[in-house]
Amino acid sequence: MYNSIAYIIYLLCSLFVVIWIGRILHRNGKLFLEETCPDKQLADSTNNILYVCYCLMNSGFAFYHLNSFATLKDLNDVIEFIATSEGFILITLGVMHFLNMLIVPKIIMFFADTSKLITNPSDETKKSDIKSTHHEL
Amino acid sequence: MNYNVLAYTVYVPIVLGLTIWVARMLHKNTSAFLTEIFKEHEKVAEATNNLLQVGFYLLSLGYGFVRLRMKGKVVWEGNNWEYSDLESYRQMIEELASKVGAFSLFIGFMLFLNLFLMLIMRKSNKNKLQHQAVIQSYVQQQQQPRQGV
Repeated sequence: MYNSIAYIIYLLCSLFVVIWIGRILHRNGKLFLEETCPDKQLADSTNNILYVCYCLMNSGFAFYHLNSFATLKDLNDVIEFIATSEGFILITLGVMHFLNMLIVPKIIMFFADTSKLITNPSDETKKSDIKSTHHEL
Repeated sequence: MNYNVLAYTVYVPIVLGLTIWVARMLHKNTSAFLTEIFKEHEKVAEATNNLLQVGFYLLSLGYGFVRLRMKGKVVWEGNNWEYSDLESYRQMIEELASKVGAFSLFIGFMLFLNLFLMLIMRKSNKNKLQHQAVIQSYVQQQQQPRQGV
């Protein structure tokens, strides 16, 4: 009886983490990657792939870790079970998150198409100004 | 009288409260730093701030929950470790103190990590701006002789 309660609460918590935090990371990661790599197509597609990877890994962890527990006899055990398994998931996700923030921009820059690199939107406007004056002359 | 459950009901609010408080403080202070780094793109500063905040929450809550379990006596019996629950108020207070202390040390470490990340981002942004300035000057040099003619 305690087992089923614990499983339900644990799965709800991990589902919450997957959906809500996944959305936050997807939205903010788009802007972050566009800043570090001006090739917007590449940044957008890597962001989507990372979002899918995040969802898969998170839910995979959650379901896989459900298998490895003994019978729970007390409220005590329930709290311990939920806390330790959630904590394990959260720590691995946090470490992966920071590693992604450090490494993914460098990998993108390695593969980015240099012909598509636009340095700055302000530079684009300056180039167009120069061209317009050239035509007037 | 279940000392374990009492200890958990004291520990979990402390963990949650500390992380939320420190995360809000970080959010306020790093926004100023980041808007200075990314001067023209305010949305990007906000986005990186949110990313850092989420990372902070994940790691600190993860550590807080992994280190939740409190045991009284640990004995090697037969082939296994035999754990026992907390048995008195004294044990409860000792274990609580050690857990809360370890958690706050970890949060301090996370703050240092955030500072370090800020410095890395600032440095990489400076390099990027230098590259952009070089490219811009090269482009302008190419355009100028045509205008003269």
